Parts: sequence; structure tokens; C-alpha cells
Amino acid sequence: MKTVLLIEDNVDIRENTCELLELEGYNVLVADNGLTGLILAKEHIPDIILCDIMMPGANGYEVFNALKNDATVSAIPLIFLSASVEKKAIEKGLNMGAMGYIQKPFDPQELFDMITICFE
Amino acid sequence: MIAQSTRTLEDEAVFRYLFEAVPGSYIVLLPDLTIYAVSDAYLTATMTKREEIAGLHLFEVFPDNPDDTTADGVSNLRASLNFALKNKTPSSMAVQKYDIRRPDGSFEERYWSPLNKPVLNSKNEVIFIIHRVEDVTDFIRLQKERSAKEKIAEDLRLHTLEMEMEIVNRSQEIQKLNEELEQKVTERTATLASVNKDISDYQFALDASSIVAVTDHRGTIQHVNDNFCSISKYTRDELIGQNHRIVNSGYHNKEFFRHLWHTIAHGRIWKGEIKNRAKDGSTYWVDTTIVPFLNEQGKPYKYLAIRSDITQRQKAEEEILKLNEGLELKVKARTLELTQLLEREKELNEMKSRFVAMASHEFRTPLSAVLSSLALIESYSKEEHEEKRKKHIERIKSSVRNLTGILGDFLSLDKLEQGKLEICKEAFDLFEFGRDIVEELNGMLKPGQQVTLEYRGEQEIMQDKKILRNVFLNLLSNAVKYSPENKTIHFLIEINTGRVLVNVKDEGIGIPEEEQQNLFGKFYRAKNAMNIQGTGLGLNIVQKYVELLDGTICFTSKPGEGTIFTVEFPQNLS
Repeated sequence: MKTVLLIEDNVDIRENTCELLELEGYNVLVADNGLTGLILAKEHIPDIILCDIMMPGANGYEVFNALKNDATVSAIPLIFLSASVEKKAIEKGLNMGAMGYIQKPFDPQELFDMITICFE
Repeated sequence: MIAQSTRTLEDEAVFRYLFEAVPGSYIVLLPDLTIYAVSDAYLTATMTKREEIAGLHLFEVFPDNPDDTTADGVSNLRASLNFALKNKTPSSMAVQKYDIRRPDGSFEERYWSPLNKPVLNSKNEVIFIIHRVEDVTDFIRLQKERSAKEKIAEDLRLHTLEMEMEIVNRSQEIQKLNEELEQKVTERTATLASVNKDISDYQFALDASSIVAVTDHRGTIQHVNDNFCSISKYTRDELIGQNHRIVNSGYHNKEFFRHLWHTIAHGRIWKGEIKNRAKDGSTYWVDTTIVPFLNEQGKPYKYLAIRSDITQRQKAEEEILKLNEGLELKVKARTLELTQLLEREKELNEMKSRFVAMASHEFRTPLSAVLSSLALIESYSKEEHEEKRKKHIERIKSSVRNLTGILGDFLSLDKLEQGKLEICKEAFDLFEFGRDIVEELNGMLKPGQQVTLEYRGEQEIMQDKKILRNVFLNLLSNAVKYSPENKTIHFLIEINTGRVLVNVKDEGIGIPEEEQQNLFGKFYRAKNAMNIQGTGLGLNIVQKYVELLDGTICFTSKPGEGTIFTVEFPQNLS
């Protein structure tokens, strides 16, 4: 069973996404801010990380940078989840080495497909 | 006869006495030419005394006149005496000029006719020479005078003749010169007449075309033409004798006239444009040329000023200048307007991008929740999933409310901006009102957060309840949103002398100093709030609401320490 770490500050999105992933058969870890997310990642070494960008405290980009600089977690694939539709924000995320970028609101199937691609 | 005689001394004395008394000038010389005897007449003629010359050599007594370089008396006499001694015959000489020495040493001009006769003894030897002279000075002088007079007469005659000839010649010359002069005068008269004609033509042209004045070297007017009178509106009599300053308008500064005078006083022509004043106080512009006339010393003794009226041109120029100034002002105003418009557009653009960013986040987040909840509801099809379905339906409702709230903000903003919002005054208890709001807020607090209400003064107010609710809720929810967990939000209400003062104080993240001035801007979010949900409309709306209530809003803030918003409005809205 694959483990997904979900970092998302909005409670509704966090809970809904978590439920959807669990229904799909994933083991899900959740964090409501970047720092908690980093701790959970190091502790559990998830198979994939889903991360929001606009969050209070450390934002998504900062979380991703911190992950890449830590050898124990740097290889974990990461997908950004964001409400931003700005091209710049998407490019920035992909240029940093993210495996994918999903715009909110998203179709749950779209998310599952992208996760599957990452594992292949 | 004396030498060989044996006669008595008495006889000799008698003969000597007789000899000395002989009328005529005689000297008896020995052969060595010493004076043996001399007659009284000789002494008189030669202005000598017997005792001074007796026994002396003849030429010692009668030397040549040293002043007369041509004197040859001595040599001629010596030659004659030698001739007599040698040939033993008398020798007569031509008239001799032989000047006589006066006792004082000077010489007197004399002419002589001398004869030297040797006296021989029996052996035919010369024992004496008798030297006789006749003074012919007077004769010679007379002769000389006569010839001189004759010469003068002759000269005069010749001179007269010459003069006569000269007169004839001169007359002819004068005649010729006169003729030439007459010719020249005729020519010159013709030239002058032509020049005069030229001058009067020029003057006519000048008077017809220009404003002319002549002044002396001090600027005193000596002549003006009709044009000058007509433009200056003075009569000729009023101008003549006046200083040219009479038409000074005072428009030009001292430096201007100093330069003008410096130029013409140094004999140079001055050109320029001058504004002058007419008698009636009106002014006129003249294009001016001042020509100095110089005397023999090169100093100006009079000035000729030639002017032409350029008032119309100058007026046109002034008009253009004014128009230009006006135009410049207009351009400046327009530029300012455009700059403001540009600034406004820039602001609008920024607002637009802020709106896009905000809308993207604020709409997409609840929509995400809606979409994912719907997906889950679909999944929960079984009976036992009833609870979960209800939860997601509630979540969808809440998200929709959230979206409606954002839309509500937009609508109230639109209403506010279009002035469509109507104020509804009502009397109510402000303390109770505050307490209700705090209660309402408690559902939104983060863990450990609390709101304290402090109330001072009267409680009854007359205000728009709906607007006040919006203002208070907005400020308080901001305080909750931007404060961490476990912090207190202080809500203070005070009524004092008809004014309501409200303080909302938090211990939150604060507002960066450089962002504070923009905080009330539409869609504006401070940098440190970017990742916190919000439309950037709240404070903008609050400010507009407070203004509607005749109140003011301000804040103080320190990043990391907290923010205090202060709202003030009248207790009873008029």
C-alpha cells in the first residue's frame, strides 16, 4: 500500500482530498502547514507528496526546496496543488523539479491519474 | 746835403724846421728805410707824433691792417721803395688802400697816392729816399659813393622794368585762374544743385516713411518730423527743446539705456526696439536706429534717430507669447491630467491583477471543496454512508455561503461606489450590540484565542446597525485571521461627549511599514498576508462604511507585535 503525504491548509480541501485518496486505496498522511509536512515526510518517507502552494508559514515552494536539500526525502516525487492559474506559478513549480501541477478545483480522477503516472 | 755839410747846427735846425713845415706829407727815409724826418702834415694825416716814429723802421710804424685780409699796402710800398733804391729813379705808385692805425689800435680806411724819390750823393749813391703821400681818401670815397648811387639807379630802372613785365605776366595768370575758377564754380553749383535735390529727395522719403528726430549731444530735441508728432501725440512746439526722455515709457531698465548711450556716445550706430510713451499715456513700439554725427574731434554733436512703428507687430508677438503661455499651461494641465489618468490606469491594472490573484484563490478554493465533496457524495452511495453524505452536503453549503459572502462584498462595494447604499438610522444599545458580535465571533476563533469586550460610557446610540455590524465584524475577523493561536483580541467601545470610539487591538503578525499606506486599497493584500485567505476588499469596504457614518478610521501597527484599528463616529447620526 502506497503512502501519500498531503500538505494543505484549507480544512475542507484537506479532509475531502484525504477521503478521496483513502477511498482509492492509499495510505494518507495529512499536515495543515509546511513545517508539519516536512516533519511527517522525514518521519514516514511517503511514496508521494501532494502540496498546496499558498499557505500561511512556509509556502509550497519553500517546502519543496527544503525536501530537495534533505537527502533522506529528496527523491520523493511531489505534485503541487494550487488555486493559482498564473502561468508563472505553474512554470516555477515545474522548473523546480515537481512531477506535476494540479489546478484547483480539480477532478479527483485527474489527481489519481497523475499519481499513477508518478509511480510508473 | 746834410751829411757832408759843415754847416752849423743852427743852419740844420732851420732847414729841419722849414722841412717840417712844408705843406704836404713827406717822410725822409734812410736807405735802410728808418725814418729820418717827417713833415707835420704827414703826422696829421697819419695821426702820429714825431717823437713816436722818428728813428723807427717805416713798416714798424705803418703795418698792414690786420682786419683787412686783402691789405697789400705794405708789400706794394716795399716793392716801390726797393725799385727806387735799386734803379735810383723815382717810383710812383697807383692809389693805394692803406689803412692807418689809430692811437687806440684800430684802423681807419684810407686811400693814398704815394711817390718815392731817391736822393743821390756825388758818388751816385742813394743816401735818402723822399717818400711823399697824398691822402686821396675823400676823393676815392666820393667816387665810390657816386658809382654806388649810379648802380642803385640802374638797378631800380632794371627792377622797374622787371616789375612791369611781372605785372603783365601776373595779370594774364590771374585772368586765367579767374576763368578756371568761374568754370569750377559753375560746375560746383551744378553739383550742389544735384546734391541738394538728392538730399531733399532723401529727406522726403525719410519723412514719408519714418519717424525722425534730431537731438543734440545731450539728447535735447532739435528737430522732429510730422510722423514723430503724430505717433507721440505731442505738437512740434511741445517737443523742441525737451529732452528725448519725454517719450520714455519706463518699460526698459537702466541697463538698456546705459548701453544705448554708451554705443552712440562712442560714435557707433545703435539699433534696437524701444517701447515709448505718447502724451496721452498710451505706449507704442518703435524699431529704432540712432546715428551719431561726429565733430572734428570725433565726438558726437548731434544724433539722428530714425524709427518705424512696430506696435502692431509687437502686440502680435505679445499676443502669441500670451497664447503660448496659455497653451503651455494647458499642455501642463493636460499632461498632469494624463499623468493622473495613467497613474489611475496603472492603479486599475494593479488592482486587476490583484483581483485576478484574489479571485483565483478565493473562488477556486471553495469550488474545490464543492467539487471534491460532490465526488465523495457520489462514492458514498450506501445506507451507512448517510452521515458522510450529510457532512459533505453541509460542506458544499458552507462553501457556497463563502462564495456568496465574497459576491456580497463585491455587491456592497459596487453599491458603495455608486452611492446607492441607503443609511437606515435606528436607536439601539451599543453595549448589547457589541456583546452579540463577540458571541458571533466565538465560532471563528483559532484554538486558545479569546475576545475581551471593554465598554465605557452611555449605551444608547442612533446609528445604522447593519453598517456598524459589518464594520465591527470585519475588523474583529481580521484580528482573528491575522493573530496566531492562544492570543487575545481586545475590543474596546467608549462613548464620550457624543462621540463613539472603537478600538480593535490584536497581538498578530502586524502590517509591514511600507505597506501601511496601501492597506485600504481595493484588493490590496500585504505581503505577509498573501498566503492567508482574503479578498483584499474588507478594509476598503470598512473605510467607505465609516465615511458614510460621518466617522474616521485609522490604525497603528508593528510587524510581529500587533495592530490597533481605531474607528470614531458620532453617537447620533444626523
